[in-house]
Amino acid sequence: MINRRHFLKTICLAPLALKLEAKDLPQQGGFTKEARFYRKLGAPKNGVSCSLCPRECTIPDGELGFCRARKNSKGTLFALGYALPCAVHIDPIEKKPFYHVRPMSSSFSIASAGCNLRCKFCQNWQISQVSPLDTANEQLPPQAVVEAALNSRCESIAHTYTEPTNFYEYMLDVAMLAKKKGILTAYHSNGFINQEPLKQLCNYLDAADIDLKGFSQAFYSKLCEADLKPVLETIKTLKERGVWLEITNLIIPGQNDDPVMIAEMCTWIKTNLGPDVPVHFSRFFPMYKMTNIAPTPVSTIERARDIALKTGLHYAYTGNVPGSPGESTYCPGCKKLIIKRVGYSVLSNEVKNGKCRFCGAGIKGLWST
Amino acid sequence: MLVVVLLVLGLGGIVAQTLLLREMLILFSGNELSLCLVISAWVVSEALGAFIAGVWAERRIVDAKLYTWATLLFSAAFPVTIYATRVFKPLVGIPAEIAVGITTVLYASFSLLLPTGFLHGFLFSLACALYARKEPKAHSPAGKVYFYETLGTIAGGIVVSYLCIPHLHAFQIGFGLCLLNGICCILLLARSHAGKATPTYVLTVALFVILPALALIRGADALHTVSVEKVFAGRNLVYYENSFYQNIAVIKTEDQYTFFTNGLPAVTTPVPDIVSVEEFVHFSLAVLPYPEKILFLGGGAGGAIHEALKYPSVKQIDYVELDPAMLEAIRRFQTPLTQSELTDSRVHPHYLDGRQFIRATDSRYDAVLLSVASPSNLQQNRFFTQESFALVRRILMNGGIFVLTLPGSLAYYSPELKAINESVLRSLRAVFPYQHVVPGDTNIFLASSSAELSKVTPEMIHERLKAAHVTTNLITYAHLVDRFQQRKRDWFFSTLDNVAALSNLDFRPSGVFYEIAYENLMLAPSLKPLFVWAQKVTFPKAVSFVFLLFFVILLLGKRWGRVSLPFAIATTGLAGMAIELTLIFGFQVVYGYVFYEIALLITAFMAGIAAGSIFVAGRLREWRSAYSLFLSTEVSLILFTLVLTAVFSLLDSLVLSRPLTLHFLFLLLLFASGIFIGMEFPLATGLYQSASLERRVGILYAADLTGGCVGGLLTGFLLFPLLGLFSTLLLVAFLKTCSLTFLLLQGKRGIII
Repeated sequence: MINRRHFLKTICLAPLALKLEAKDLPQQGGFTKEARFYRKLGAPKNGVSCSLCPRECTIPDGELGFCRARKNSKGTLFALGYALPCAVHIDPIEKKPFYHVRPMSSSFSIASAGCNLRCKFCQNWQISQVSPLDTANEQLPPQAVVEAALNSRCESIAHTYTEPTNFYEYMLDVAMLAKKKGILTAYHSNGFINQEPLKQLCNYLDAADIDLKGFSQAFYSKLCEADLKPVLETIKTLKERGVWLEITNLIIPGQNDDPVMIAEMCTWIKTNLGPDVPVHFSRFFPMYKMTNIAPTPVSTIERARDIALKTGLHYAYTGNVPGSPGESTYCPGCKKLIIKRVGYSVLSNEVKNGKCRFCGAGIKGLWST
Repeated sequence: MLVVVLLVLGLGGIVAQTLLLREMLILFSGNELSLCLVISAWVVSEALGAFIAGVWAERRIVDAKLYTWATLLFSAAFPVTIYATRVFKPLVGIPAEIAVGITTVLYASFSLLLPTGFLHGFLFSLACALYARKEPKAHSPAGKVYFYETLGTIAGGIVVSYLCIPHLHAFQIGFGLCLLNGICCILLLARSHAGKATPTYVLTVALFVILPALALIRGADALHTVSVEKVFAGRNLVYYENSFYQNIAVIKTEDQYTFFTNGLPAVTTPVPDIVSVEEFVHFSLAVLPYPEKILFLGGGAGGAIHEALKYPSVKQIDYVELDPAMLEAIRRFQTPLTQSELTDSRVHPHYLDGRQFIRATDSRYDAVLLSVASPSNLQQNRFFTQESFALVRRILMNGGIFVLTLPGSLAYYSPELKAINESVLRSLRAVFPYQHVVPGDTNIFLASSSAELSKVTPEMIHERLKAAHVTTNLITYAHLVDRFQQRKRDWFFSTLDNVAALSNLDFRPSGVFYEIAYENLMLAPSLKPLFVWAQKVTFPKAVSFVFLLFFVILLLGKRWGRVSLPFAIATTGLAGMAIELTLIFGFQVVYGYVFYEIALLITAFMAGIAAGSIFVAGRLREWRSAYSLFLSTEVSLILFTLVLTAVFSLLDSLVLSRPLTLHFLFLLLLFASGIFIGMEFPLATGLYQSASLERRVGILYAADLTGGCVGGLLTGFLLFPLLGLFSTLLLVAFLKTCSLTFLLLQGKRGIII
């Protein structure tokens, strides 16, 4: 028997249900790719358990995962960003930043919306902190990405801007095709991905730039809502699997600029990855939700670089400080300037066949063929 | 003595409101919407206090003792609220570096301001009851109280703005107010108890006079220091001052100084954001063959002027900065960068509003560089309007260029970001036949009347930099080629295709709305649907809404009766706020933003309220039909609103032909608009005979404040930016017409027994 309370509740909730239902329907031509790395939890609730990243979201029917890029529709998990990038551009490879990968080349850069972190200082928040359902997207199947990169004479395809882990399937399919065509695949990521999908991806990745945002769990908890340990595991795996690796550390005053923390990070890098992994220390400027804060002093950035070099790392760079000597590459053997950079521009390059032109020392990287 | 108490009541209210508003602007790094929310929170708290007091007091005897206790609470709440506001973020666990969204602003404003605002409103109703007891023969005790309270508000506004804020910090002013309240209450008690020392009397002396005096001497500075340290916890604060215009704080991090204005970083030295500074200056000046006279509006020290001085052809740089306290702070913490800028003989600072400068100057410039980051509030938006661009065009040499920046992206444009850029670009296109956009994370817009601008190439800029021997950290030929790519410009313009954004005008400042919508997307994205809905509001829809409201009120009137008068008072409160904002804003558009002038304008409005209320209060007994007078006031207000639209339509010609007359006309119009509001309140309390004095004062004061609150919120955030000034005034006139119609339909039976 329907009583008055039940009747009123139904009437009030009905329009809301209709609204959800309308949004639930996949758009024509998109949102139809089934995700990988999940398991179905079955009836009656039709939930799913995603295992792509350490969040391991349990996603109820009709809901999005934490990343906002995966949606459970009647017990099937869909990768919403597949073949629907919201950002498609051609950038200098140095912008990613990759300093030891095909200098002065162009990189075909793509991203679908979403991210599995909540960094308060995100530069691309307009597309990282929303779902592909909310952005204006292009329809660009994997084959079209590779063709566009070839037509633009790009030597690499970079999965960047947002968090490419969240368009994993798209990235993987593009990478497979790119490999066949001799185009490098570059991955700029927060490193917050589970080992199994990462290892599969490594078969097709050529270069990875991982944002090691801070070297403490406290920093990751406070400003990113994430964990440090999985990121460190990702970095080690990439290195072990032979993917060219560069690390970016955005230094934020009062948050992760402690010299002791930076020294620990550099020691960890040298011990676990070796001295040839380039590290980029970037100057922070107020961004997104972190606006009531001063920019990083240049002296802090330069000190971080000094710490890295003294720890024994061969390649330590300053970022967002145009004109700084730290933008350039110096031979670890003879100490001479071998790649001069200003911003994203390479003004001179003395690396020939992967060696210093002056002393012949090997300079690690993915250099032009 | 009671009159003195009422004057102090008014003074206390404006002092508390002004100081707490300034503290909240720093806390929230406020834009227009957060400002409106904070003011609304204060007004609603006052309205609530007045209403509750009205109901609570009607069954009690309101005497000096009761008033004293309520004043004690208000006096204690005020400095506590100052402290709580400053430490709000650490108190609720929000890191100091993190900006807060509108939802946080809303609950923070209400929770922080409720005690003080509520108690002040409470005191007003108590004061009316007290006055009525003391002066039983007075025909309109509420009118008299309104008058004296308004006088106190005027005096308090002048005292706090001109005398207190520049020389004292908030706690000193707060404890000073406690002392003043204490002295008044003691004297009030003494009069009522004929000098006998009752326990209440003694306790009041101790609480109100001795404690605040001690606090002023010993504790105020300590409280100020401790609370400011909590605001900037973990950072090395080396300077903290309040100027007329803003709060300025300086943080030292190693060898770097960062100058914060109202909580946001404005200037960083010795090394600024090199990319932003060098691109802003060199992408514009290197377009010109021999830039000689340069104008920087709204900023420049801290890097941009340093870059401009590199050009040997530059002979003069006029640097317009509203707040001299800002340059004083920069000079106090000099670095080689700022020293080179501010001691160069070619650089001439001018301390006045930028719009005022460009209207008044006879100089002509090769380049005008607008250093205001974005149209984030009505003040800054004035630099991004079509009319402002026309003024800039007037002061450019032949072939001169105008440069401004807006938020941008090289990855993706949300609808909100598109709207800001499209709105300003439309205004720019309406004035300058040639524009060149350099898209980036910050978009750089160049505009000129000269076709030479369309010939800008990276090669040209590179050659000009070389010829002028200008060295930079960033601007290499490769960098220029990358930044000036046609592909990027094509992408930028394709993103703006079919964007339905209104062009940004002085009297329809749509840029503010779009900027607030964009900021909201960052900080409170769940409110996005509200902003999307608001953009669909048009004048016909707004009129329909008012019509609907009218019918709803009509139905309520049939059910409950006697709502026509509170509705009329509420709509007058709304109209008064809308008219006041319109006139003050219009004044700023014409004359610029000058703190002293703004205070004078607000004083003129308040003086009008005072004049209107005392005029009616003193003569109420003489008129046979106060009801007819009330109706006449309503009609006059409608006509006055329509007259204002005519005045604003003639503004441009009046500015040129009769500038001094126009100046006084603004003051007169504000005074006149205040008169209507001042007249209606005591008339209404006199007419509304169905309830006790306390209850009807409470209801009507609450209605007045609520209307004012809604008017302020809607006008500043929604009606001005999206409908424009003229439509807003017409809407207000229509609303008052509905209120008048309702009064006529209900007739006297709905008001008076």
